[in-house]
Amino acid sequence: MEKTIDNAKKRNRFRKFLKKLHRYRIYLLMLLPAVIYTLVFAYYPMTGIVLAFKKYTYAGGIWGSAWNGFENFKFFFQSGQAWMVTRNTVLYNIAFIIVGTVTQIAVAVFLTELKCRKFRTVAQSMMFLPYFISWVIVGVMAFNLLSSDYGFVNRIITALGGEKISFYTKGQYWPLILILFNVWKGVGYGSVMYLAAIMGVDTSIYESAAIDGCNVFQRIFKITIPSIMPTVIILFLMSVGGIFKGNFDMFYNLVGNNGLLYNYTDVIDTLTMRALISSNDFGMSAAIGLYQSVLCFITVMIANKLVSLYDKDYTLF
Amino acid sequence: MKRISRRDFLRGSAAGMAGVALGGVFGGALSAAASEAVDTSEYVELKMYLIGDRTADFDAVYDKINEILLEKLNCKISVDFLSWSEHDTKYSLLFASGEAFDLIFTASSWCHYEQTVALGGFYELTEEFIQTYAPDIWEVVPEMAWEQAKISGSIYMVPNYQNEFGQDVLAVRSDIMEQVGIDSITNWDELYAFYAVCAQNGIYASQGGPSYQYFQDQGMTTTGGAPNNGELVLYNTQDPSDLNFYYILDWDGFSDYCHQAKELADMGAWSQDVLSSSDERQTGLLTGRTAAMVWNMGSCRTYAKQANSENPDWNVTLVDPVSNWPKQVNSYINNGVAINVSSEHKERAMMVLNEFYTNPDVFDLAMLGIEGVHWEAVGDDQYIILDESGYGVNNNCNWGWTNDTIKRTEYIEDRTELDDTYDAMLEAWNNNVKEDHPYDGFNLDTSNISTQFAAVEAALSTYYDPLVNGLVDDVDASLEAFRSAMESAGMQDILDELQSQAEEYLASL
Amino acid sequence: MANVKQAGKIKHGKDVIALQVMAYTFCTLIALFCLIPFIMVISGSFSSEESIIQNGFSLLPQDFSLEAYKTVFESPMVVIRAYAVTIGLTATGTVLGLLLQTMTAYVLSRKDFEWRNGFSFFFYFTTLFSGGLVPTYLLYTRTLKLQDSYLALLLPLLFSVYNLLIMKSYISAIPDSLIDAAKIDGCGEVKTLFSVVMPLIKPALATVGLFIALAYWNDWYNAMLYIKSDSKYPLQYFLYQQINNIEAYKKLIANNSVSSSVASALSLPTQSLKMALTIVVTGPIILAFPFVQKYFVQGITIGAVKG
Repeated sequence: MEKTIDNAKKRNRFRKFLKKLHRYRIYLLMLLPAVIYTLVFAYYPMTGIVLAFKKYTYAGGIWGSAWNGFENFKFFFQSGQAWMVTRNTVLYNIAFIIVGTVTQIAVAVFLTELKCRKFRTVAQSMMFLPYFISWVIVGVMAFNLLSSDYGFVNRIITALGGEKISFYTKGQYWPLILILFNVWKGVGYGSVMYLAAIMGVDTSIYESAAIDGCNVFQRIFKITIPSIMPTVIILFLMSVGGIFKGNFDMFYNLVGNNGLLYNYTDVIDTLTMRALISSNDFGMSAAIGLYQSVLCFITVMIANKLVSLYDKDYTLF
Repeated sequence: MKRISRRDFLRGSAAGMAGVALGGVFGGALSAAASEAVDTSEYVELKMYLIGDRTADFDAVYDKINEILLEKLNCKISVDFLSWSEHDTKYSLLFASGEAFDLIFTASSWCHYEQTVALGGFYELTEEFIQTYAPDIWEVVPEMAWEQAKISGSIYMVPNYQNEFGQDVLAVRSDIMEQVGIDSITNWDELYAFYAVCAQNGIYASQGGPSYQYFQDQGMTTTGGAPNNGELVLYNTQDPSDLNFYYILDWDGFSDYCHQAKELADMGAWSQDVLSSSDERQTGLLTGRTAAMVWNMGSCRTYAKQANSENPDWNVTLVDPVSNWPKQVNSYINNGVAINVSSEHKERAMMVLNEFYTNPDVFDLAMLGIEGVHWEAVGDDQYIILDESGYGVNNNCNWGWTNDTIKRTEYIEDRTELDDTYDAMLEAWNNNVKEDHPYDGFNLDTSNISTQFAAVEAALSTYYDPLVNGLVDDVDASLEAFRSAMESAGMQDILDELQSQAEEYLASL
Repeated sequence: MANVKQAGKIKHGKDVIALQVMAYTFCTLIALFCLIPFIMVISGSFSSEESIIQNGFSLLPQDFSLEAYKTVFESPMVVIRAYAVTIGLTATGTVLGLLLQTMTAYVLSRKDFEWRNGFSFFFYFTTLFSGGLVPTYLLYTRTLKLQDSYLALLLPLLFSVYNLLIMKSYISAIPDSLIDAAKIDGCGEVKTLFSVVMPLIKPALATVGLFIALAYWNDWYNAMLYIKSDSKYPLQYFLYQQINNIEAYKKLIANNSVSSSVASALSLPTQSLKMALTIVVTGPIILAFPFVQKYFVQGITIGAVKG
């Protein structure tokens, strides 16, 4: 008896499902291309992470190659590279987030204060320019600036009576160089977000502040900045989620394959690529990729939790 | 078959040259017989990958080659190039992609041979396979060459057959030598003095540290299949009784060299940008930025000529910075061709290679271009260049099938001092070939230690290139850091494997 | 903003002047900081090779010379071909990408679609976890056999969950009553999307469209992985290749030169040629930039205000 009821329930549910399927057929049809795309290009490659536990051969491919346990991870961790690239990736991202955010906020605040409209537009345009060019071009520019034979920076240093600095052999300068280029490329775009937030501030507060005798600096620190804090915090927390992702485009084009700088400049993404293309170590490359994916997954979860604690509206899921 | 040493072969090569025409005819007849024996009734299109850049007339030349292939083997071949700047990146990706191309250029150490074998990318060439589909190659290629190509007992490439010297020379501007007061560069001390005095005069001597010249000055050479193109482990090739391997970090010479390199770099003997520069080996000399370039004798002559034609006052000449030692002939697997494991026409590919290697018509086309357009024959074994602009002579990655028995040499009408220097040097070297060292034919099989090998390769570049170019702040500290990085990457496993494989190899000789 | 100005007028004290001085100084410095690398490339491209080798790069062209540009245009076909590839890809990719993203975002924002959260998570999960470089590479080459095909350049950038989220937030902001009214009038979903929703989200289309277009225009990475034939190189990878292989590029120019004035590759400039090539590749972006920037700023601003 029970079984028949169960079956009936099941049949009922299935009929309901079919009904919905019919009702949503247009929606589903509209979703189909994106769903297929995501299945093929995002979900299917996830199955390829088994490669992290295999000894890859060309003939075997992903599925035909033999298992080798944690062998691919062993050297990544033993050689100290895991620690080095993870450290570099995280430290660079933290520096990028902090220096970037501060500059962008400063630019946004000062831009709104500028009285001359024309100057503001021109200045903003100039700051926006780097956002539009590729990192390949930035790499060319960096070499122009930093080369010890032709570089502009060294030209200035020698003109001022200093000694040439050979940037491409001295790793210790690179954190600064990379941070500057990162700020350079993102300042125009990033400040727009904060500009919008500043414009969204209720202007009547400014008036009452002025009447209360606040000077302009007090106004900025007591009203403007606190009122854009929500935007700052949300953007900050969102970028925390990507803290284990190195910007391959940037590091590869600025540093290239200059081994002398790796201690200071190697991030997870450049190592993954190098393991693949210069040492042909498919297994280790996949292993590093998996390691990074897991770290990213954890941090996104944490960041999302923090965002939801701060303001539910901004959570991503 | 009797083992023939390289030396014997070289001595015999003069006789071989005399028999060029005969060899050619004979070869053609043999291959015709082979193609009758094998079924070629199905028309196929083959694909080959070469290293370099497609020259302007390349397709026209290969159209001619295809006419011959179509008639003889009922197939055509198309060629794709992996450029010099990207072959490091794309060689392995090509195999990973599973593309079913047929033939590919390869070379021990500098062009991915051992790495690709370790990942199973090449088709194993059994003796029977070679004899069936490339009988003429089997006739020409000496046993020593096959021996060198063997990795754990199996052959994966067809080595080229030529007695090319493995040692680099300097193409150096005489005007600068005069200016800085150096009249000869024949050994390491003189080379060092030259680099130093160039630097003191504000001229870059070359495009980086002369590490090979130092190694060779000490009698050392690289070990086949060892990390970093063999540079991490050396052996004393000038002394056949010395069967030790010298891991560079345990060898005092390396530390000594690194200190000297740093002295030179600090003086300004080469640019501080070398590690980030995309210049080619000849760029510095040709653009007047360096006093010298370092490469093999042939390339040095080519570019020296080019430089002299544009700047006659430079008077670029060739010097041998290691003239105190007998000369080492390059291993035959320094150039070669392999068959892709995913190829769908392996047999036909081998037959085509047989044509490239031993059919004088095809060989001449691939090496020199179209007769009457690019070159003209002088007798049976020489050529004269008509126009090199569309198809550089011996410069289209045809080296994989270089075959000294049918290779033409250049007939030079207006001889310059440079040509005389070159010929004199070549003759001197030919008369001064070093004794064989047992390890000359040895090649490390990395398939058991591929993880360690990859880890070592990945960690290497942080230390090795900066050290040999003298760009580190503190040589000793950097050597120590290098050592510990190598240790944690598993270098000891590689050294152990090397030792045991070498013992096996010696026992099998 | 007007009110801020008024506030300033009420009290024109020292603090206001100090702030103005600071603001002008700071903005000028940052703007120059952003601009200098561009100026240097431009001046390098107009300098003679000798002057660069002797003195290095500078802010103003030294020993003014058009040699480098002449060299680039000796063999213009290669550049034009790379342009054609990039323009074609950017146009196709932007149109298809926008269509795909808008359509998907529309369905996911329909409140009468009960399964929307499930599907949203299905898409969103892919940003949390990915297969990584190697499996993706093997998918494109071994499974789909797309190496050396334009599809390998088109597909990777076609769909992005971040753009989807932006789109979704815009479409969700459209009042349901508008869409319901359209449906009552007898519009199907597709017609509603195209004739009601799309016109309402023009700023979003512009912004996301620009994001997609910029991604295609600046892409070199996928070409590095998947493209072998130089005739299929998109612009940025073409530049990357020539900069890193400048001798080969010079040879190519010498062989294909339209005028016969080029004696040999050796006589061509190197450093200034790299600069001129960079400018030729960057040029259109700089020209289109004021227009593009305006839309961009508007789009981001509206998005940010809406939250």
